[in-house]
Amino acid sequence: MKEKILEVLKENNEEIVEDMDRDLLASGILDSFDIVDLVVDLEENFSIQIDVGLVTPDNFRTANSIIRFMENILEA
Amino acid sequence: MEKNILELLEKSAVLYADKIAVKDVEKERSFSSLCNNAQKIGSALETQKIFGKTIPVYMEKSVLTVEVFLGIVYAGGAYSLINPIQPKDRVEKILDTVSSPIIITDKEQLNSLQEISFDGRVVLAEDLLNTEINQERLQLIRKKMVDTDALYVNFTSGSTGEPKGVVVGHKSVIEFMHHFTSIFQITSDDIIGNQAPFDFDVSVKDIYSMLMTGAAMYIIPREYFAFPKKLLDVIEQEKITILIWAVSALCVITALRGFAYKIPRTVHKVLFSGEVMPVKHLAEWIRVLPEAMFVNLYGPTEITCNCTYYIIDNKNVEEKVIPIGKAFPNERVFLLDRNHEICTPNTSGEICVGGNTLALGYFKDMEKTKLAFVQNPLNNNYMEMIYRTGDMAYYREDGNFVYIGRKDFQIKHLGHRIELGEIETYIGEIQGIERVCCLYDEHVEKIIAVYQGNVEQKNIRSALRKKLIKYMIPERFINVESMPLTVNGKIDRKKLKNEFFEGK
Repeated sequence: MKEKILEVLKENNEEIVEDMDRDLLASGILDSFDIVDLVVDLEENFSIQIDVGLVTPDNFRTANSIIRFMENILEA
Repeated sequence: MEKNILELLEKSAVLYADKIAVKDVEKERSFSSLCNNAQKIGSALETQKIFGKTIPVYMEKSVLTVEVFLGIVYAGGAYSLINPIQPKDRVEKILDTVSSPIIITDKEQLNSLQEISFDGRVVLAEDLLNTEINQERLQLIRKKMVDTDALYVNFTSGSTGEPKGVVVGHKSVIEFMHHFTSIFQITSDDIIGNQAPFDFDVSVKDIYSMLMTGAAMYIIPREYFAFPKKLLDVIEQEKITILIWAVSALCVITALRGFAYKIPRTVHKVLFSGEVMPVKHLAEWIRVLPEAMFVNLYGPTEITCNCTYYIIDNKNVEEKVIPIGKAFPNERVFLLDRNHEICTPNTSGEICVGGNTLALGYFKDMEKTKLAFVQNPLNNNYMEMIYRTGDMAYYREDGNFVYIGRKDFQIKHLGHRIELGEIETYIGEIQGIERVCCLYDEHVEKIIAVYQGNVEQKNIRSALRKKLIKYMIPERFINVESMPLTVNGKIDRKKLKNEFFEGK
């Protein structure tokens, strides 16, 4: 599962996965419109709907946190 | 009518002295303390002889930034916000053009500013507040000012790779804001939720609605616009009543189904601009706020915010295209066809604007100014300036204008005006690139760069990151063996579009 999430992230923007622990928000790699774009990509690839309450800075801070968050959703 | 925007501030400081004027996540100011602080900053800057000069302000949007803007005006200058999220190279280019003896920043941005080469003096905004007000000097300066003096300079994308500074005067802002606040009935009971960055002229409507009507302005942090939950929470908490937002910002909420979490019930007016509003997203906003007023606004920075507006009929949104509507009072908006003749209904032409809301031109660029601000070809008798927007439209029998698209290669992406030529210039400078063409795929809202030359995408991307603002960097790079050309030897954009656009 982790592989596929990684692939979606990479497909969206290679820079996201260059450093798995980099702060994507502070470094400006993900701005507001990028996050919307990324959420839509994740939803389409996994045929899920992500609750807007889960689209939070904590969940989208780093590549690792996105993967953890997605694994939680997909396992639930 | 006022001749200086400070009269608006001073009037509100008397009428609404203790009422909140502007608030951000950290602090708030009443109208009287806003006026007081602006006068302190003005008195400090006055000693630096900035009368008639344009002063760069290198700060994120905040209460203090508004105070600095007004302080600069008190000292007889014009302000130009330089957004710190831009790449260093672009900031340096703008500073070079402005060539101001001073730059104003705050403690938060001081470190990032130190990485930028600037010859003048760096002034800390916080320090300016420790100055005693010198009423006598401030009044002397006011006497010397006229209503055609510059108020702000707003840098937008230019096709040659050089950002263009649009200079807007007091008179234009005062004229436009009187109509804007009266048509949309903005009052001192309103709380305006500011979305737009301050280097984007949508924010002019927030700031000057506040000063003109006594409404409060709440500055929503940029970071919140990634997270609809935070946005909807802050709208509720601050009881925000008016949103004057970019289309893309409104769509952030609907794209992630934000209304399933919370409906922003305090909002009763939603005014949007920047790009074409997708009807699907608008319908969703109207569904949750059926009583609210929704307005489509149109206009480039060069004519001061907007020149046309269209109030949407909430009960009838099945319309495929939302018109950009009719002209604001005292603005002349008309269409000229290819032969510089006026268009009849349902024929397309370039949108032209006349009246006293026209900008004063481009900063230090007479050549570009003369190309865009021209004599009205319909008037052979005396001087009458108009601005040719480069936007194409037609008007319907009911008198409403309908936007069609750009005449040239300028696009609207995420609410920002971008010259594809500017991006091409930078890609072309990268070693190994032989030819490049940028296209905008409107269906998926992506900028595509097609290039010829042996360079890896990764390297182009990282080179561009140093030069361009993020939203200008293409989302897709396509390497081609050879670029298709037209019979005239120009890059065949049509062919590229057919080949690489992601379908309709």
